[in-house]
Amino acid sequence: MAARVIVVTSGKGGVGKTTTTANISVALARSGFKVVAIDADIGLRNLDVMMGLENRIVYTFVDVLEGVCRLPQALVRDKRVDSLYLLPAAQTRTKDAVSPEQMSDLCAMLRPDFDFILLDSPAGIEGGFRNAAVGADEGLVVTTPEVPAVRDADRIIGMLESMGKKPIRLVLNRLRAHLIREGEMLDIKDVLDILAIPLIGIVPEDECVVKSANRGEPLTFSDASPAAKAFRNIADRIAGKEVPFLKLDEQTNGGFLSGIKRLFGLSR
Amino acid sequence: MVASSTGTEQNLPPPDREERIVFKGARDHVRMLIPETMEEQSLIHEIVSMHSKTSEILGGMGVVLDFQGRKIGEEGLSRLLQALWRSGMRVLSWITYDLETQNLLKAAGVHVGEYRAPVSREAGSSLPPLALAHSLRSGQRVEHDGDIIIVGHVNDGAEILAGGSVVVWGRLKGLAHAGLNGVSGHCIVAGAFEAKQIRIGSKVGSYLGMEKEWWGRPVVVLLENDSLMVRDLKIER
Repeated sequence: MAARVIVVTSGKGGVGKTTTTANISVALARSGFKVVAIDADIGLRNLDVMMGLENRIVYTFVDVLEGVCRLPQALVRDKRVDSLYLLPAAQTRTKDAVSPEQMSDLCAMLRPDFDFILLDSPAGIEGGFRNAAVGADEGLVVTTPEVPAVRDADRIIGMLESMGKKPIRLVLNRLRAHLIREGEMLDIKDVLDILAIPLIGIVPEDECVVKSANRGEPLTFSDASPAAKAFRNIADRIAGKEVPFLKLDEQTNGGFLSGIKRLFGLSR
Repeated sequence: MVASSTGTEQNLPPPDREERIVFKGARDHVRMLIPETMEEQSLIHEIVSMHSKTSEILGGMGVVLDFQGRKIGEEGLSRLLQALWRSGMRVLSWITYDLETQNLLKAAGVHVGEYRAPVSREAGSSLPPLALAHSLRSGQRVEHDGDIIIVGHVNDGAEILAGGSVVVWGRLKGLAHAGLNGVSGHCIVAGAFEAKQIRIGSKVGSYLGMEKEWWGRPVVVLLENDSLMVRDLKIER
């Protein structure tokens, strides 16, 4: 087993990196893959809360890198899905507590035992992002269809390209079809035209995401909501399945439908 | 306020010692900072009296007259020009923040605005153009003393700084600055113009937006009569 290491990043904060990491990790694990989600946001960790595992953290990966504990001791296994693990960040330390070389070594240590390693990157382009990205093979860039988020995503894509990450794919999150119709939100075509990377999924705005974050239960533990279906499809595409966007379209409400139809005229 | 006076320099009272013209030396010119509140007759007296000191103070260099916010009327300008002619000063440029005065000076045919020393055209044009066959993403910056050609898009947040002209085959959303070295005759060409700001030489065009008729169209931006002009790009075959 040699894991694919994927960094989930965005540049801008608040666009849904942690939500995406949690939901895709759960979906991949539910598909039978052995997955570890690493919270690379030292000092501002959230992935543990999002996954409902905060009360089970004893050690963090910073402890592993400092020799305080062994790697298996820091891994938190999710009891809901046997093949899902969380490797938490230290909340009481800062981004410079680890070096890029150490993060790269950490990924190398995990690779033999997992199918997928997902790294939840902090916002920004400084050391925290670099630490998260250095050990990754692939990039998953999350953005919302808003001008500032797209500009930051473009910046981060340029940095990932210069670091040699491949493929770099786009998750378009929190799409609000009625705002696109009203011309108040960037069209999907506009975003793809600017960022010029393959689209791996579109996640509609869904209030279930807020509820799930507060409950610590990622949506992909069930397939009930539009966002859950979208994240599930993204996980399947990461795993190499051919999942047409049309299915996502059919599973979502009518408002979202027209936006996706426009996409299909343009998808590549 | 400019005082009305038709007297010659011999009849003028000595200038107020509290309001003196300040000389500031630059690499290739001298900037004369003229206090806004200095009476016109004092100013003319000072300028004319420089006749004997011109070579001593200026050493043959041209001057930039910085009137700051001073308002100058037609008659006042006429008297100033006469005084400058008598002084033997070589005026390179006139600076004033007052818009009416700026327009008057432009109408009089003098150079208005910050002075930039001309660079020999041959120096810039001897450099081969820099051509990049990919898009520039946010945060990426390209600098070159000659022309820059981008075969791709220039995204919002990217920057191109060229000593020569800038040609973007795709969409220009980022910042393009042509003629960085002050050489005139450079332009910015974009396949689809969506930039919020452009620069040619020392001129900055920043009041650009979607409401402009050229938004999203192929254009060429030129510096004409000291103003940035956006024109449709027409390629004749």
